[in-house]
Amino acid sequence: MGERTNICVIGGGAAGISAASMAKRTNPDATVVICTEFEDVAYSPCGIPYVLGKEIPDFERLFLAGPEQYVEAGVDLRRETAVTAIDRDARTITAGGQTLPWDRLIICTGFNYTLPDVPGNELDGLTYVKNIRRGMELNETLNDVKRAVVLEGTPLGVEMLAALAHRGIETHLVDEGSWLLSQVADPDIAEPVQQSLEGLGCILHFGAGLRGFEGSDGRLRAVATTEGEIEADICIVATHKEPETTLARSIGLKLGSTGGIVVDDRMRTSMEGVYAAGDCVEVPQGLTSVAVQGLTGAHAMQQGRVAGANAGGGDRRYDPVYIPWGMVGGQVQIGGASFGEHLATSLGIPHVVGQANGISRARYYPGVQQVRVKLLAEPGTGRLIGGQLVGGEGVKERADFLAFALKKGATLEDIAWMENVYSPPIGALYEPMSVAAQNGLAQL
Amino acid sequence: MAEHEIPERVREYFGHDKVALFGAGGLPAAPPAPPGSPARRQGEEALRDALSKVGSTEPRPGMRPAATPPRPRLPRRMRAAGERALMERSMRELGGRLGFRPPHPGAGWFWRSVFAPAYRAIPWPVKRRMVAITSGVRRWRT
Repeated sequence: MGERTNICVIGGGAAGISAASMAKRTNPDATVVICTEFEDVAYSPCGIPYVLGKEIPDFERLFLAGPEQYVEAGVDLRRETAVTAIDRDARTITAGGQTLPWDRLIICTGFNYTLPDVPGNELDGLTYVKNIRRGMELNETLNDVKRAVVLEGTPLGVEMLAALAHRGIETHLVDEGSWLLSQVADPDIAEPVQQSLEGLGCILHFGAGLRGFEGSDGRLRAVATTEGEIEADICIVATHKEPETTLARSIGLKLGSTGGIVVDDRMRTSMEGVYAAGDCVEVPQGLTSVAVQGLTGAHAMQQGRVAGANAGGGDRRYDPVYIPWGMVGGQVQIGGASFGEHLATSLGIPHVVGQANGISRARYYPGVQQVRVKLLAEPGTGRLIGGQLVGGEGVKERADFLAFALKKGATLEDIAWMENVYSPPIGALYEPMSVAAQNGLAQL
Repeated sequence: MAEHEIPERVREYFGHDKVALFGAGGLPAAPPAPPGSPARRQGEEALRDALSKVGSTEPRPGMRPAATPPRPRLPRRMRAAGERALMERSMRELGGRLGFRPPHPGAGWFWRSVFAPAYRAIPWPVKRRMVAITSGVRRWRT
Protein backbone atom coordinates (compact mmCIF):
# COMPACT_ATOMS: atom_id res chain seq x y z
CA MET A 1 0.00 0.00 0.00
CA GLY A 2 1.32 3.44 -0.93
CA GLU A 3 1.62 6.53 1.24
CA ARG A 4 -1.54 8.65 1.55
CA THR A 5 -0.10 11.83 0.13
CA ASN A 6 -1.64 14.81 -1.63
CA ILE A 7 -0.02 15.42 -4.99
CA CYS A 8 -0.99 18.60 -6.83
CA VAL A 9 -0.06 19.16 -10.46
CA ILE A 10 -0.20 22.68 -11.89
CA GLY A 11 -0.75 22.52 -15.64
CA GLY A 12 -2.62 20.16 -17.95
CA GLY A 13 -0.25 19.94 -20.90
CA ALA A 14 1.93 17.01 -21.92
CA ALA A 15 4.11 17.27 -18.80
CA GLY A 16 1.25 17.83 -16.34
CA ILE A 17 -0.98 15.06 -17.60
CA SER A 18 1.80 12.50 -17.78
CA ALA A 19 3.06 13.55 -14.33
CA ALA A 20 -0.38 13.09 -12.77
CA SER A 21 -0.99 9.75 -14.49
CA MET A 22 2.42 8.44 -13.45
CA ALA A 23 2.05 9.67 -9.87
CA LYS A 24 -1.28 7.86 -9.54
CA ARG A 25 0.12 4.72 -11.13
CA THR A 26 3.15 4.76 -8.79
CA ASN A 27 1.08 5.42 -5.70
CA PRO A 28 -2.57 4.45 -6.17
CA ASP A 29 -3.35 5.63 -2.63
CA ALA A 30 -2.26 9.19 -3.34
CA THR A 31 -4.79 11.94 -3.95
CA VAL A 32 -3.75 13.43 -7.28
CA VAL A 33 -5.21 16.75 -8.40
CA ILE A 34 -4.49 18.48 -11.73
CA CYS A 35 -5.36 22.16 -12.03
CA THR A 36 -5.36 23.79 -15.45
CA GLU A 37 -6.58 27.23 -16.39
CA PHE A 38 -7.66 25.91 -19.80
CA GLU A 39 -10.85 24.20 -20.93
CA ASP A 40 -9.25 21.08 -22.36
CA VAL A 41 -6.58 18.52 -21.61
CA ALA A 42 -5.33 15.45 -23.45
CA TYR A 43 -5.24 16.80 -26.97
CA SER A 44 -2.38 17.29 -29.38
CA PRO A 45 -1.51 20.98 -29.72
CA CYS A 46 1.18 19.99 -32.22
CA GLY A 47 -1.60 18.98 -34.62
CA ILE A 48 -3.19 22.44 -34.70
CA PRO A 49 -1.15 23.83 -37.65
CA TYR A 50 -2.16 20.83 -39.75
CA VAL A 51 -5.86 21.41 -39.15
CA LEU A 52 -5.39 25.11 -39.91
CA GLY A 53 -3.64 24.06 -43.14
CA LYS A 54 -6.52 21.66 -43.91
CA GLU A 55 -4.20 18.65 -44.03
CA ILE A 56 -6.21 17.17 -41.16
CA PRO A 57 -9.94 17.57 -41.66
CA ASP A 58 -11.07 18.49 -38.15
CA PHE A 59 -9.97 19.46 -34.67
CA GLU A 60 -12.00 16.77 -32.94
CA ARG A 61 -9.59 14.05 -33.87
CA LEU A 62 -6.78 15.82 -32.01
CA PHE A 63 -8.48 14.88 -28.75
CA LEU A 64 -7.01 11.78 -27.14
CA ALA A 65 -9.17 11.41 -24.04
CA GLY A 66 -12.17 12.93 -22.35
CA PRO A 67 -12.29 14.23 -18.77
CA GLU A 68 -14.26 11.14 -17.69
CA GLN A 69 -11.20 9.00 -18.35
CA TYR A 70 -9.26 10.87 -15.65
CA VAL A 71 -12.07 10.38 -13.17
CA GLU A 72 -11.99 6.65 -13.93
CA ALA A 73 -8.23 6.65 -13.36
CA GLY A 74 -8.76 8.28 -9.97
CA VAL A 75 -7.28 11.65 -10.89
CA ASP A 76 -9.11 14.80 -9.80
CA LEU A 77 -8.98 16.93 -12.95
CA ARG A 78 -9.99 20.56 -12.45
CA ARG A 79 -10.35 22.43 -15.70
CA GLU A 80 -10.70 26.22 -16.00
CA THR A 81 -9.11 26.38 -12.57
CA ALA A 82 -6.19 28.78 -12.53
CA VAL A 83 -3.69 28.45 -9.69
CA THR A 84 -3.13 31.95 -8.41
CA ALA A 85 -0.88 31.35 -5.41
CA ILE A 86 1.35 28.81 -3.73
CA ASP A 87 1.94 28.92 0.02
CA ARG A 88 5.30 27.26 0.58
CA ASP A 89 5.03 27.19 4.38
CA ALA A 90 1.46 25.94 4.70
CA ARG A 91 1.98 23.70 1.66
CA THR A 92 -1.20 24.75 -0.09
CA ILE A 93 -2.18 26.19 -3.44
CA THR A 94 -5.01 28.58 -4.19
CA ALA A 95 -6.88 27.27 -7.21
CA GLY A 96 -10.15 28.67 -8.47
CA GLY A 97 -10.67 30.37 -5.12
CA GLN A 98 -10.19 27.11 -3.17
CA THR A 99 -7.26 26.18 -0.96
CA LEU A 100 -5.83 22.75 -1.72
CA PRO A 101 -3.18 21.02 0.40
CA TRP A 102 -0.13 19.35 -1.10
CA ASP A 103 2.64 17.14 0.15
CA ARG A 104 4.24 17.00 -3.29
CA LEU A 105 3.77 19.71 -5.88
CA ILE A 106 4.56 19.33 -9.59
CA ILE A 107 4.86 22.56 -11.56
CA CYS A 108 4.19 22.13 -15.29
CA THR A 109 3.29 25.68 -16.24
CA GLY A 110 4.69 25.50 -19.77
CA PHE A 111 5.68 28.50 -21.82
CA ASN A 112 4.54 31.73 -23.42
CA TYR A 113 5.78 33.06 -26.72
CA THR A 114 8.27 35.86 -26.30
CA LEU A 115 6.38 39.05 -27.06
CA PRO A 116 8.56 41.36 -29.16
CA ASP A 117 9.17 44.54 -27.22
CA VAL A 118 8.28 46.86 -30.12
CA PRO A 119 5.55 49.43 -30.78
CA GLY A 120 2.15 48.00 -31.64
CA ASN A 121 2.59 44.67 -29.86
CA GLU A 122 -0.87 45.05 -28.30
CA LEU A 123 -2.75 45.23 -31.62
CA ASP A 124 -5.52 42.83 -32.55
CA GLY A 125 -4.31 40.59 -35.30
CA LEU A 126 -1.22 39.40 -33.48
CA THR A 127 -2.04 35.72 -33.41
CA TYR A 128 -0.76 32.80 -31.37
CA VAL A 129 -1.05 29.10 -32.11
CA LYS A 130 -1.05 27.22 -28.81
CA ASN A 131 -4.49 26.53 -27.35
CA ILE A 132 -6.91 24.33 -29.28
CA ARG A 133 -10.09 26.36 -28.73
CA ARG A 134 -8.36 29.54 -29.78
CA GLY A 135 -7.06 27.56 -32.76
CA MET A 136 -10.63 26.61 -33.64
CA GLU A 137 -11.60 30.29 -33.54
CA LEU A 138 -8.60 31.22 -35.68
CA ASN A 139 -9.56 28.56 -38.20
CA GLU A 140 -12.88 30.32 -38.81
CA THR A 141 -11.32 33.75 -39.27
CA LEU A 142 -8.61 32.55 -41.66
CA ASN A 143 -11.14 32.42 -44.47
CA ASP A 144 -11.14 36.23 -44.50
CA VAL A 145 -7.37 36.62 -44.31
CA LYS A 146 -5.63 37.69 -47.51
CA ARG A 147 -2.11 38.41 -46.27
CA ALA A 148 -0.24 37.07 -43.27
CA VAL A 149 3.18 37.45 -41.72
CA VAL A 150 4.83 34.70 -39.71
CA LEU A 151 7.30 36.09 -37.23
CA GLU A 152 10.40 33.89 -36.96
CA GLY A 153 11.28 30.69 -38.75
CA THR A 154 11.02 28.43 -35.72
CA PRO A 155 9.52 24.94 -36.09
CA LEU A 156 6.03 26.33 -35.44
CA GLY A 157 6.75 29.20 -37.83
CA VAL A 158 7.69 26.76 -40.58
CA GLU A 159 4.55 24.69 -40.00
CA MET A 160 2.39 27.81 -40.09
CA LEU A 161 4.02 29.05 -43.29
CA ALA A 162 2.98 25.86 -45.03
CA ALA A 163 -0.47 25.86 -43.41
CA LEU A 164 -1.27 29.43 -44.46
CA ALA A 165 0.09 28.86 -47.95
CA HIS A 166 -2.16 25.79 -48.25
CA ARG A 167 -5.09 28.06 -47.44
CA GLY A 168 -4.18 30.30 -50.37
CA ILE A 169 -3.05 33.15 -48.13
CA GLU A 170 -0.16 35.38 -49.24
CA THR A 171 2.32 34.46 -46.53
CA HIS A 172 5.54 36.23 -45.59
CA LEU A 173 8.20 35.14 -43.14
CA VAL A 174 10.13 37.78 -41.19
CA ASP A 175 13.26 36.39 -39.56
CA GLU A 176 16.40 38.04 -38.22
CA GLY A 177 18.50 35.00 -39.06
CA SER A 178 20.14 34.18 -42.37
CA TRP A 179 18.14 31.05 -43.10
CA LEU A 180 15.19 29.00 -41.94
CA LEU A 181 15.38 27.33 -38.51
CA SER A 182 18.71 29.06 -37.96
CA GLN A 183 18.52 28.42 -34.21
CA VAL A 184 19.21 24.74 -34.91
CA ALA A 185 19.68 23.91 -38.59
CA ASP A 186 22.63 24.35 -40.93
CA PRO A 187 22.15 26.49 -44.05
CA ASP A 188 22.73 23.65 -46.53
CA ILE A 189 20.26 21.44 -44.64
CA ALA A 190 17.62 24.17 -44.39
CA GLU A 191 17.93 25.23 -48.04
CA PRO A 192 15.71 22.48 -49.56
CA VAL A 193 12.99 23.36 -47.05
CA GLN A 194 13.21 27.02 -47.99
CA GLN A 195 12.95 26.11 -51.66
CA SER A 196 9.93 23.94 -50.97
CA LEU A 197 8.18 26.71 -49.04
CA GLU A 198 8.98 29.21 -51.79
CA GLY A 199 7.51 26.68 -54.21
CA LEU A 200 4.31 26.83 -52.17
CA GLY A 201 4.30 30.60 -52.64
CA CYS A 202 5.75 31.74 -49.31
CA ILE A 203 7.83 34.91 -49.40
CA LEU A 204 10.81 34.63 -47.07
CA HIS A 205 12.55 37.71 -45.66
CA PHE A 206 15.80 36.78 -43.92
CA GLY A 207 18.13 39.15 -42.11
CA ALA A 208 15.09 41.32 -41.45
CA GLY A 209 14.77 42.98 -38.05
CA LEU A 210 11.34 43.70 -36.58
CA ARG A 211 10.69 47.42 -36.05
CA GLY A 212 7.07 47.29 -34.94
CA PHE A 213 3.46 46.54 -35.80
CA GLU A 214 1.46 49.22 -37.61
CA GLY A 215 -2.26 49.37 -37.07
CA SER A 216 -5.41 51.34 -37.53
CA ASP A 217 -8.40 51.30 -35.17
CA GLY A 218 -6.51 48.93 -32.88
CA ARG A 219 -6.12 46.34 -35.62
CA LEU A 220 -2.92 45.20 -37.32
CA ARG A 221 -2.37 46.70 -40.77
CA ALA A 222 1.29 46.00 -41.45
CA VAL A 223 4.49 44.64 -39.99
CA ALA A 224 7.38 47.13 -40.07
CA THR A 225 10.80 45.61 -40.64
CA THR A 226 14.28 46.90 -41.40
CA GLU A 227 13.62 45.79 -44.99
CA GLY A 228 10.38 47.72 -45.30
CA GLU A 229 6.73 47.41 -44.40
CA ILE A 230 4.70 44.28 -45.15
CA GLU A 231 0.93 44.66 -45.22
CA ALA A 232 -0.77 41.95 -43.22
CA ASP A 233 -4.18 41.06 -41.81
CA ILE A 234 -2.63 38.84 -39.15
CA CYS A 235 0.82 38.12 -37.78
CA ILE A 236 1.51 34.68 -36.37
CA VAL A 237 3.92 35.18 -33.48
CA ALA A 238 6.10 32.07 -33.52
CA THR A 239 8.90 33.35 -31.34
CA HIS A 240 11.04 31.65 -28.71
CA LYS A 241 9.28 29.68 -25.94
CA GLU A 242 9.70 31.76 -22.80
CA PRO A 243 9.30 29.56 -19.71
CA GLU A 244 6.24 30.49 -17.62
CA THR A 245 7.71 30.81 -14.13
CA THR A 246 5.48 33.34 -12.38
CA LEU A 247 4.37 30.88 -9.69
CA ALA A 248 7.83 29.32 -9.40
CA ARG A 249 9.39 32.75 -8.83
CA SER A 250 6.71 33.63 -6.27
CA ILE A 251 8.00 30.86 -3.97
CA GLY A 252 11.65 31.51 -4.70
CA LEU A 253 12.49 28.48 -6.83
CA LYS A 254 15.91 28.72 -8.40
CA LEU A 255 15.91 29.69 -12.09
CA GLY A 256 18.78 28.98 -14.47
CA SER A 257 20.57 30.71 -17.31
CA THR A 258 17.71 30.08 -19.77
CA GLY A 259 15.10 31.47 -17.38
CA GLY A 260 13.75 27.97 -16.80
CA ILE A 261 13.32 26.30 -13.40
CA VAL A 262 16.46 24.46 -12.30
CA VAL A 263 15.80 20.77 -11.66
CA ASP A 264 17.98 17.77 -10.94
CA ASP A 265 17.79 14.43 -12.71
CA ARG A 266 14.78 13.42 -10.63
CA MET A 267 13.02 16.64 -11.69
CA ARG A 268 13.29 18.02 -8.15
CA THR A 269 13.46 21.78 -7.87
CA SER A 270 15.44 23.76 -5.32
CA MET A 271 12.60 23.30 -2.79
CA GLU A 272 11.93 19.98 -1.08
CA GLY A 273 8.73 18.31 -2.21
CA VAL A 274 8.40 20.52 -5.31
CA TYR A 275 9.02 19.04 -8.75
CA ALA A 276 8.82 20.63 -12.19
CA ALA A 277 8.71 19.37 -15.77
CA GLY A 278 8.13 20.44 -19.36
CA ASP A 279 8.72 23.76 -21.07
CA CYS A 280 9.12 25.63 -17.78
CA VAL A 281 12.32 23.78 -16.78
CA GLU A 282 15.86 23.61 -18.08
CA VAL A 283 17.87 20.41 -18.43
CA PRO A 284 21.48 19.77 -19.48
CA GLN A 285 22.50 18.98 -23.04
CA GLY A 286 24.30 15.64 -23.04
CA LEU A 287 27.61 16.57 -24.61
CA THR A 288 28.29 19.96 -23.09
CA SER A 289 26.06 20.11 -19.98
CA VAL A 290 24.82 23.49 -21.23
CA ALA A 291 21.31 24.03 -19.88
CA VAL A 292 18.60 23.99 -22.55
CA GLN A 293 14.89 24.75 -22.37
CA GLY A 294 11.81 24.77 -24.58
CA LEU A 295 12.23 21.34 -26.13
CA THR A 296 9.56 19.10 -27.67
CA GLY A 297 6.29 17.60 -26.48
CA ALA A 298 8.06 14.24 -26.26
CA HIS A 299 10.60 15.70 -23.84
CA ALA A 300 7.82 17.31 -21.77
CA MET A 301 5.95 14.02 -21.57
CA GLN A 302 9.01 12.03 -20.43
CA GLN A 303 10.00 14.68 -17.90
CA GLY A 304 6.44 14.63 -16.57
CA ARG A 305 6.59 10.85 -16.16
CA VAL A 306 9.83 11.11 -14.20
CA ALA A 307 8.48 13.90 -11.98
CA GLY A 308 5.22 12.00 -11.41
CA ALA A 309 6.95 8.73 -10.56
CA ASN A 310 9.24 10.43 -8.05
CA ALA A 311 6.45 12.51 -6.52
CA GLY A 312 4.53 9.26 -6.10
CA GLY A 313 7.38 7.75 -4.11
CA GLY A 314 9.30 6.04 -6.92
CA ASP A 315 12.87 6.56 -8.02
CA ARG A 316 13.22 7.51 -11.68
CA ARG A 317 15.95 9.53 -13.35
CA TYR A 318 15.88 11.68 -16.44
CA ASP A 319 19.02 11.70 -18.55
CA PRO A 320 20.70 14.71 -20.16
CA VAL A 321 19.25 15.35 -23.59
CA TYR A 322 20.59 14.97 -27.14
CA ILE A 323 17.42 16.47 -28.61
CA PRO A 324 16.39 14.50 -31.65
CA TRP A 325 14.20 16.80 -33.71
CA GLY A 326 12.41 16.57 -37.00
CA MET A 327 9.58 18.09 -38.93
CA VAL A 328 8.09 18.59 -42.35
CA GLY A 329 8.75 21.95 -43.96
CA GLY A 330 6.79 22.38 -47.15
CA GLN A 331 7.18 18.97 -48.73
CA VAL A 332 10.58 18.15 -47.30
CA GLN A 333 11.50 16.46 -44.04
CA ILE A 334 14.27 17.95 -41.94
CA GLY A 335 15.75 16.85 -38.64
CA GLY A 336 18.79 16.05 -36.60
CA ALA A 337 20.17 15.53 -33.14
CA SER A 338 22.55 17.42 -30.89
CA PHE A 339 24.87 19.80 -32.76
CA GLY A 340 24.89 20.81 -36.39
CA GLU A 341 27.78 22.63 -38.01
CA HIS A 342 26.26 26.04 -37.26
CA LEU A 343 25.82 25.44 -33.53
CA ALA A 344 29.20 23.72 -33.24
CA THR A 345 30.85 26.66 -35.00
CA SER A 346 28.99 29.12 -32.77
CA LEU A 347 30.15 27.39 -29.60
CA GLY A 348 33.65 26.84 -30.97
CA ILE A 349 33.47 23.05 -30.74
CA PRO A 350 36.17 21.47 -32.93
CA HIS A 351 34.60 19.08 -35.43
CA VAL A 352 34.97 17.21 -38.67
CA VAL A 353 32.05 16.77 -41.06
CA GLY A 354 31.07 13.68 -43.00
CA GLN A 355 28.35 14.14 -45.61
CA ALA A 356 26.47 11.97 -48.05
CA ASN A 357 23.57 12.23 -50.45
CA GLY A 358 21.83 8.89 -50.20
CA ILE A 359 18.45 7.45 -51.08
CA SER A 360 15.53 6.23 -49.01
CA ARG A 361 14.63 3.12 -51.02
CA ALA A 362 16.23 1.13 -53.80
CA ARG A 363 16.96 3.48 -56.70
CA TYR A 364 14.51 1.64 -58.94
CA TYR A 365 11.66 1.48 -56.43
CA PRO A 366 8.73 3.90 -56.96
CA GLY A 367 8.70 6.79 -54.54
CA VAL A 368 12.46 6.75 -53.87
CA GLN A 369 13.61 10.02 -52.31
CA GLN A 370 16.93 11.69 -51.70
CA VAL A 371 18.21 11.74 -48.09
CA ARG A 372 21.08 14.10 -47.32
CA VAL A 373 23.04 13.31 -44.16
CA LYS A 374 25.63 15.40 -42.40
CA LEU A 375 27.46 13.95 -39.37
CA LEU A 376 29.75 15.86 -37.02
CA ALA A 377 32.45 14.19 -34.98
CA GLU A 378 35.26 15.05 -32.64
CA PRO A 379 38.62 15.28 -34.47
CA GLY A 380 40.96 12.49 -33.48
CA THR A 381 38.54 10.20 -31.65
CA GLY A 382 35.77 10.36 -34.24
CA ARG A 383 33.18 10.42 -31.47
CA LEU A 384 29.87 11.70 -32.82
CA ILE A 385 28.77 15.14 -31.65
CA GLY A 386 25.70 15.55 -33.80
CA GLY A 387 24.11 15.33 -37.18
CA GLN A 388 21.44 16.74 -39.46
CA LEU A 389 19.33 15.32 -42.24
CA VAL A 390 17.05 16.53 -44.97
CA GLY A 391 15.08 14.49 -47.46
CA GLY A 392 11.80 13.24 -48.75
CA GLU A 393 11.31 10.51 -46.16
CA GLY A 394 13.04 8.54 -43.41
CA VAL A 395 14.31 11.52 -41.43
CA LYS A 396 12.54 10.92 -38.12
CA GLU A 397 13.86 7.38 -37.60
CA ARG A 398 17.40 8.41 -38.45
CA ALA A 399 17.25 11.40 -36.08
CA ASP A 400 16.05 9.11 -33.27
CA PHE A 401 18.81 6.63 -34.07
CA LEU A 402 21.37 9.41 -34.12
CA ALA A 403 20.32 10.67 -30.69
CA PHE A 404 20.61 7.17 -29.27
CA ALA A 405 24.00 6.66 -30.91
CA LEU A 406 25.18 9.97 -29.43
CA LYS A 407 23.97 8.99 -25.99
CA LYS A 408 25.90 5.74 -26.20
CA GLY A 409 29.09 7.48 -27.35
CA ALA A 410 29.15 6.03 -30.87
CA THR A 411 31.95 7.01 -33.25
CA LEU A 412 32.12 7.55 -36.99
CA GLU A 413 33.83 4.15 -37.17
CA ASP A 414 30.79 2.54 -35.48
CA ILE A 415 28.36 4.17 -37.90
CA ALA A 416 30.55 3.51 -40.94
CA TRP A 417 30.48 -0.21 -40.20
CA MET A 418 26.94 -0.43 -38.88
CA GLU A 419 24.50 -3.07 -40.06
CA ASN A 420 21.49 -1.79 -41.93
CA VAL A 421 18.20 -2.98 -43.36
CA TYR A 422 18.23 -3.46 -47.12
CA SER A 423 14.86 -4.00 -48.69
CA PRO A 424 13.99 -2.17 -51.93
CA PRO A 425 10.66 -0.62 -50.82
CA ILE A 426 11.99 0.69 -47.49
CA GLY A 427 15.77 0.98 -47.63
CA ALA A 428 18.68 1.12 -50.02
CA LEU A 429 21.71 -1.16 -49.96
CA TYR A 430 23.91 1.71 -48.84
CA GLU A 431 22.55 3.39 -45.73
CA PRO A 432 23.09 7.17 -46.13
CA MET A 433 24.19 7.53 -42.47
CA SER A 434 26.84 4.89 -42.98
CA VAL A 435 28.10 6.51 -46.17
CA ALA A 436 28.29 9.91 -44.43
CA ALA A 437 30.30 8.31 -41.61
CA GLN A 438 32.67 6.68 -44.11
CA ASN A 439 33.22 10.07 -45.71
CA GLY A 440 33.75 11.57 -42.26
CA LEU A 441 36.44 9.01 -41.42
CA ALA A 442 38.50 10.40 -44.27
CA GLN A 443 38.46 13.80 -42.52
CA LEU A 444 39.76 12.60 -39.16
CA MET B 1 -9.56 5.08 -60.33
CA ALA B 2 -6.78 7.57 -61.00
CA GLU B 3 -3.28 6.49 -59.99
CA HIS B 4 -3.21 8.34 -56.68
CA GLU B 5 -6.89 8.60 -55.95
CA ILE B 6 -7.55 7.47 -52.42
CA PRO B 7 -10.46 5.16 -51.66
CA GLU B 8 -13.03 6.88 -49.47
CA ARG B 9 -12.83 4.17 -46.79
CA VAL B 10 -9.07 4.77 -46.42
CA ARG B 11 -9.46 8.53 -46.42
CA GLU B 12 -12.08 8.28 -43.68
CA TYR B 13 -10.08 5.75 -41.73
CA PHE B 14 -6.88 7.74 -41.57
CA GLY B 15 -8.31 11.19 -41.94
CA HIS B 16 -5.23 12.17 -43.90
CA ASP B 17 -5.02 11.50 -47.59
CA LYS B 18 -1.22 11.58 -47.69
CA VAL B 19 -0.97 8.37 -45.72
CA ALA B 20 -2.42 6.35 -48.54
CA LEU B 21 -0.28 7.84 -51.30
CA PHE B 22 2.13 4.95 -51.39
CA GLY B 23 -0.45 2.21 -51.24
CA ALA B 24 -3.38 1.21 -49.07
CA GLY B 25 -3.30 -1.92 -46.98
CA GLY B 26 -0.63 -2.92 -44.51
CA LEU B 27 -1.45 -2.71 -40.84
CA PRO B 28 -3.71 0.27 -40.35
CA ALA B 29 -3.23 2.05 -37.05
CA ALA B 30 -6.12 2.56 -34.70
CA PRO B 31 -8.20 5.47 -35.95
CA PRO B 32 -8.58 8.62 -33.88
CA ALA B 33 -11.21 8.58 -31.17
CA PRO B 34 -14.34 7.07 -32.72
CA PRO B 35 -17.71 8.86 -32.74
CA GLY B 36 -19.39 8.65 -29.35
CA SER B 37 -16.15 8.14 -27.41
CA PRO B 38 -15.36 10.49 -24.50
CA ALA B 39 -12.49 12.05 -26.46
CA ARG B 40 -14.65 12.68 -29.53
CA ARG B 41 -17.43 14.14 -27.39
CA GLN B 42 -14.94 16.44 -25.71
CA GLY B 43 -13.67 17.55 -29.12
CA GLU B 44 -17.20 18.22 -30.38
CA GLU B 45 -18.07 20.19 -27.25
CA ALA B 46 -14.88 22.21 -27.57
CA LEU B 47 -15.66 23.01 -31.19
CA ARG B 48 -19.23 24.09 -30.43
CA ASP B 49 -17.98 26.34 -27.65
CA ALA B 50 -15.16 27.81 -29.74
CA LEU B 51 -17.41 28.57 -32.71
CA SER B 52 -19.85 30.37 -30.43
CA LYS B 53 -17.03 32.67 -29.36
CA VAL B 54 -15.58 33.61 -32.73
CA GLY B 55 -15.19 37.38 -32.84
CA SER B 56 -16.05 37.78 -29.16
CA THR B 57 -13.97 40.15 -27.06
CA GLU B 58 -14.83 38.27 -23.85
CA PRO B 59 -11.60 37.25 -22.11
CA ARG B 60 -10.84 33.54 -22.28
CA PRO B 61 -7.81 31.43 -21.47
CA GLY B 62 -4.99 31.32 -23.98
CA MET B 63 -6.05 34.39 -25.95
CA ARG B 64 -2.65 36.01 -25.67
CA PRO B 65 -0.06 33.43 -24.61
CA ALA B 66 2.84 35.83 -25.01
CA ALA B 67 4.92 37.72 -22.53
CA THR B 68 7.83 40.07 -22.46
CA PRO B 69 10.27 38.19 -20.22
CA PRO B 70 10.85 39.62 -16.75
CA ARG B 71 14.10 41.57 -16.61
CA PRO B 72 16.55 38.70 -16.44
CA ARG B 73 19.37 38.40 -13.97
CA LEU B 74 22.93 39.00 -15.10
CA PRO B 75 23.83 35.36 -15.95
CA ARG B 76 20.85 35.05 -18.28
CA ARG B 77 21.47 38.42 -19.92
CA MET B 78 25.11 37.52 -20.50
CA ARG B 79 24.25 34.11 -21.89
CA ALA B 80 21.61 35.52 -24.26
CA ALA B 81 23.88 38.31 -25.52
CA GLY B 82 26.88 36.02 -25.89
CA GLU B 83 24.90 33.33 -27.72
CA ARG B 84 23.45 35.86 -30.09
CA ALA B 85 26.85 37.29 -30.99
CA LEU B 86 28.33 33.83 -31.54
CA MET B 87 25.42 32.68 -33.68
CA GLU B 88 25.48 35.83 -35.79
CA ARG B 89 29.17 35.32 -36.42
CA SER B 90 28.62 31.71 -37.43
CA MET B 91 25.72 32.70 -39.71
CA ARG B 92 27.94 35.23 -41.48
CA GLU B 93 30.64 32.63 -41.98
CA LEU B 94 28.61 29.58 -43.00
CA GLY B 95 25.81 31.43 -44.73
CA GLY B 96 28.22 33.76 -46.52
CA ARG B 97 29.88 30.79 -48.22
CA LEU B 98 26.52 29.67 -49.60
CA GLY B 99 25.28 33.10 -50.60
CA PHE B 100 22.77 33.60 -47.77
CA ARG B 101 21.98 37.09 -46.50
CA PRO B 102 23.78 38.20 -43.35
CA PRO B 103 21.68 38.11 -40.16
CA HIS B 104 20.11 41.23 -38.75
CA PRO B 105 22.80 42.61 -36.42
CA GLY B 106 21.12 42.36 -33.03
CA ALA B 107 24.16 41.74 -30.86
CA GLY B 108 25.69 44.84 -29.32
CA TRP B 109 29.11 46.19 -30.27
CA PHE B 110 30.89 44.72 -27.25
CA TRP B 111 29.50 41.24 -27.80
CA ARG B 112 30.08 41.30 -31.55
CA SER B 113 33.50 42.95 -31.64
CA VAL B 114 35.10 41.96 -28.35
CA PHE B 115 33.38 38.93 -26.85
CA ALA B 116 32.92 36.80 -29.99
CA PRO B 117 36.55 37.05 -31.22
CA ALA B 118 37.90 36.60 -27.70
CA TYR B 119 35.72 33.53 -27.12
CA ARG B 120 36.90 32.03 -30.37
CA ALA B 121 40.54 32.45 -29.39
CA ILE B 122 40.13 30.33 -26.24
CA PRO B 123 40.97 26.65 -26.80
CA TRP B 124 37.99 24.31 -26.62
CA PRO B 125 39.17 22.28 -23.58
CA VAL B 126 39.30 25.52 -21.58
CA LYS B 127 35.92 26.68 -22.95
CA ARG B 128 34.46 23.30 -22.12
CA ARG B 129 35.51 23.62 -18.49
CA MET B 130 34.19 27.18 -18.35
CA VAL B 131 30.85 26.04 -19.76
CA ALA B 132 30.61 23.14 -17.30
CA ILE B 133 31.41 25.41 -14.35
CA THR B 134 29.01 28.17 -15.35
CA SER B 135 26.16 26.03 -16.70
CA GLY B 136 24.45 25.81 -13.32
CA VAL B 137 23.76 22.13 -13.93
CA ARG B 138 24.15 20.16 -10.70
CA ARG B 139 23.12 16.73 -9.46
CA TRP B 140 22.87 15.21 -12.94
CA ARG B 141 24.30 11.94 -14.15
CA THR B 142 26.49 12.99 -17.09
